Amino acid sequence: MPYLKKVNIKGKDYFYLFHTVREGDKFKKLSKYVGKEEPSKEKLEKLKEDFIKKIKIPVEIVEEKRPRVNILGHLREMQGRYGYLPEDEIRKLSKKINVPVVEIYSASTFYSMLSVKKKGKRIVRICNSPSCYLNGSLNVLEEAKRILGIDVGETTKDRRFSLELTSCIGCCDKAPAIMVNDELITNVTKEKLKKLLK
Amino acid sequence: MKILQKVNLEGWKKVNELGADGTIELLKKKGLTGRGGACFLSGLKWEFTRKEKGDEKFVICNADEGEPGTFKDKLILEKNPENVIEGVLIACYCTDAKQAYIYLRGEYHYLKEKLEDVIKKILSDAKFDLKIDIVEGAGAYICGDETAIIASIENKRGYPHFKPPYPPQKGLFGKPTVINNVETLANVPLALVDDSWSDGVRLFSLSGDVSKPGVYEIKMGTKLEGIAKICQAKDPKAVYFGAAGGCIPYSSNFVINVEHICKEEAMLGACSLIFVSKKRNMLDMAINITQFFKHESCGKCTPCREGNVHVLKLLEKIKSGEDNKKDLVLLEKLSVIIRDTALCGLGQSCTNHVLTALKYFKGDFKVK
Amino acid sequence: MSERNKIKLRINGKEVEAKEGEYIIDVASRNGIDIPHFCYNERLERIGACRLCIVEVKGMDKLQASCCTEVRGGMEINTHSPRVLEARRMNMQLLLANHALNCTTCKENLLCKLQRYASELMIEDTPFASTQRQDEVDDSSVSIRRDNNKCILCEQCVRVCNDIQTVYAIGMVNRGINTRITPNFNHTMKESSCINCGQCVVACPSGALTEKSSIPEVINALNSDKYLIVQTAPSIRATLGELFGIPAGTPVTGKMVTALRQIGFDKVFDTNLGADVTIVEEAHEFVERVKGNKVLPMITTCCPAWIKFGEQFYYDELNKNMSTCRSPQAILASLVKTYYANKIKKDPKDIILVDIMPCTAKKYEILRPEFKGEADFVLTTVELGKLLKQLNVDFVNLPDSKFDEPLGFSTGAADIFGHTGGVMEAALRTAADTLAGEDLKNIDYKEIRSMKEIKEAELEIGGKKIKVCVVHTTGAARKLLEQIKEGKSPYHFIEIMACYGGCIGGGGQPPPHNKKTLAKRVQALIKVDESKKIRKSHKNPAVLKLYEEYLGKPGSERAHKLLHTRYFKKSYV
Repeated sequence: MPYLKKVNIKGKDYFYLFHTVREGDKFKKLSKYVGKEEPSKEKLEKLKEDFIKKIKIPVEIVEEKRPRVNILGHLREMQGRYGYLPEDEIRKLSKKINVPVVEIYSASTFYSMLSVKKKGKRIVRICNSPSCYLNGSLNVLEEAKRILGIDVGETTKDRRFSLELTSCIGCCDKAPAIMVNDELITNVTKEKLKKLLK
Repeated sequence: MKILQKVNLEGWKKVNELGADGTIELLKKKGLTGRGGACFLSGLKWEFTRKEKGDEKFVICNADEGEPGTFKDKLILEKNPENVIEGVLIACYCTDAKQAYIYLRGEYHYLKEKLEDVIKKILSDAKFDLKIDIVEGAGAYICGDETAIIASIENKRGYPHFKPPYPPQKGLFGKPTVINNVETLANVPLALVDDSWSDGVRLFSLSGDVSKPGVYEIKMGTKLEGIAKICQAKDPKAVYFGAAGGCIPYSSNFVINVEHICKEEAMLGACSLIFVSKKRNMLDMAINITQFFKHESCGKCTPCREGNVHVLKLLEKIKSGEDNKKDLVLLEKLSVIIRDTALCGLGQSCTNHVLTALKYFKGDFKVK
Repeated sequence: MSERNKIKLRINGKEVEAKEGEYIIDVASRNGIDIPHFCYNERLERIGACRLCIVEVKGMDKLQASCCTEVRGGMEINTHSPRVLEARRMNMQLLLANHALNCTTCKENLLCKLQRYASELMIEDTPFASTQRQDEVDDSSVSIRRDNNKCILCEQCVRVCNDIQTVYAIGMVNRGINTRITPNFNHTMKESSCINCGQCVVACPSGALTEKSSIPEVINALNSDKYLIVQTAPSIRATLGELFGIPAGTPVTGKMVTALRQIGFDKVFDTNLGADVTIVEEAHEFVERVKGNKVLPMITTCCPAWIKFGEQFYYDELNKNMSTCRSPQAILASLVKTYYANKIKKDPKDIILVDIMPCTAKKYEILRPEFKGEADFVLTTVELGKLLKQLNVDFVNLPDSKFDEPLGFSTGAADIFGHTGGVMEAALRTAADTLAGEDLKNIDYKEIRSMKEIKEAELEIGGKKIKVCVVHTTGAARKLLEQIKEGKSPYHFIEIMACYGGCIGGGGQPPPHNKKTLAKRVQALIKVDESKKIRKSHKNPAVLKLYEEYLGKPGSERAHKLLHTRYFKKSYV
């Protein structure tokens, strides 16, 4: 509730009503000048009432800050360790950094190098973007399919390999190129492939 | 190659003499433009960010080179990361940023360790209070878009955001942000110290049906014939400018510069030329490139998400040899509407290759 | 509009005024042009994803999304040029190619925005091959049915759930054409943190999210030999008319009662009486807490969505702050199956009680084990509309009639339960009288009536300073709950409603839930309140009689058994 206070300015007394309100995390003091003489009790009540009516006590909505943690880094590390993103690990991460599971999950499923499904130990990604395509990426793909005995998007029974297509990996000058986990392999030939997928 | 000349913090020294405003002025005078494809004056971008009020500002180095046929940034990061980091340092100094991020595409993971060492060394040599962190992407072409990079660093899905507001006004974590491509930043110290430096010399990534693919320094305004000779193109029929830039028919006298290519309704973008030889069918190329866009569309806006699926379906139907007059009309109309209504730069350019191929190589789309 | 940032532009050739920083879609709407849109919602972050609201702007090469393009002085905009219409039509056709086109057998038939725009754009076919997904329908939740085959990915539900409600039950998953909206790790809605508030249902423009229907069960009940009772929540009278073309903000209490009687209910009771009882009990509890220095702030518990939110996210810290009072619905339900059953000498098992609620979460509430055997079915406002239409009730032309005794008389305090701040105002009317020991005249607490998300007021009641706070949407509530958790709450009494605007904006109310419509609904309830002679719950003669005949005193043992409840920690994936 507002309270009355005498304020001395340059030797003269003035009466003010004060009231403290909260704005977000901060407190703000509001004041109203009511005269040079102390108002009577009834008048004071009326003044207080009018004063409080005028104040729309504002509550600022404080924007929640997104934590500045490199979640993508955590996820890549997790992907490297387990070969996929296990549900339990994402939950643990969510608790640790205080970000809702659904947000981490949502981001995880967006990027092609992350996977929430179990995959093979080594993920073979064959680039099929124009430069590699012009340099025989489809032959590489066919050969990989033949050696591994699986189709694109599948994993070998022994869980050693998964086969995928990928967009350009920036090795167009050494096409055709593929990626095996984090490693770039360029100028791929049938022989090279055979060795890699042994 | 000029871009691989080490500057050894000479640029930084010059910046300390000139001050931030002087540096920005000099860069504007030298005419350094962004190498990501939009060709915006880098000095101007920095000036906007510098003038913007904010308790915090950021610099992001876009090392998410994902455009098919583009591998010049990889070369710079491999051979001359020092210049890039010096460029980042200067960008931060000029915009009052205390934190920079290098958004490194996940596929270039092998460069990370070396980059970290270079960052450490340069920051200690320059004696400047700055934090440079590497954030690794995880496989998303769309994160080459500046607003999508921001979303990705903010740990969200790499969805692009409409502009304005532009990053210099409201970028990373809602703060003023400069985003520059690797090549642009590597050029910053060079442009400051080397009098012979010219904005007209660009790094071209040449690949496709060629014998000597690679990154070459080529002057803007060179004839296509000259470029074909450099990389020994095999019997060229067409040239694609990455996947998003569309294609033009090969013509030896065609002069390569932004305006000329624009006139042909294609886009030069990041100077990636994919040569296609005469033995190829452009319909096959269109199918291959549409597969790429279908895979890389982020899914946010309707035309790009749904549209690319139907572009591919239509192309495959045309390929199957059915009566296709109606399909060709629909394909063209759909391509135009995707271009006109998509949300981001990727979406707006993802059918350039279809439209240009239809324009110049309609014969390849006819039933045999 | 200050002169300084006023600008002029042309929309379809006509000069209009706007403020700098406004968006095209909003300026157009103010000038009578409703540009079609799916992803745009005035209360949500703009994303510009659906690309239906595209317009032509002179001098700009590409078409611009009007929801996220700011106006500039001198701009010339065409919202319906042939080029725009063609592009809009094609984007619609793309959406339709990936949508389950079983409109005539769809729950959203005639309520669906996608259908409406398809008709407005005169789309008679789609040239594209069907890309329709074949996803499983998620029927696990008791409140909400999720059919991804109808989803057009406008993201409204995700933004409502995550940004406004902070429930984080659903999110965008995968990329490109494989993008879906699902709970995390493909769990079901039932397992998720969904609080059943239904705000996503209201937001969904294409029938992918709908309420779980109980209409068939109710029709069966209407044709059984059981004794049929129905109760209607405070806010239904303010919104039901909209489903029959009656303008928003028109109370239709009398017609509603007639309609319910006409379709076969033996007794039509008013949840409002339950609301009056809630207030008597809640005010009693509050006074006890204040006098006895017990746990404060006390938080109202009329809203079942907020209760689940609290039980899920704040049980350990805050369960003692939650009032033990049942919601008006649960109170009336327990009175019907005990007091009233006793009075008419019927076995409660032979009585079927149907609740007409503004809310999808009430479907969850009646299934809580604590309330077993009380209410039998819940129909939302939208469902009641559908039921009346199915039974061909000529609603608009019905005469008025009154609720049945003894559970049909209510005060103005109960009517305002339907909008944000209403429960608090009603409680203050009674608590102030109790604490002051007199019949106070000033009973309008206007400071808590606005549509602001967090409203606070400080009052002096009986010599004691009382700070109260009213909050709607669980996202805003979370801020207050965090404050209490940290021991920094300055409040004594808090009202929480999960839905924006309170129950008039509930998940079972007819769309659209824009600010304009919601404000009209609030006014309707305030009008009803002000028209009543008795506007304080504890003065309700029916309530007084109830206590005298059956319950004893507020807070008595019987009152505790029938009118109060307990809370249980809830887990989620």
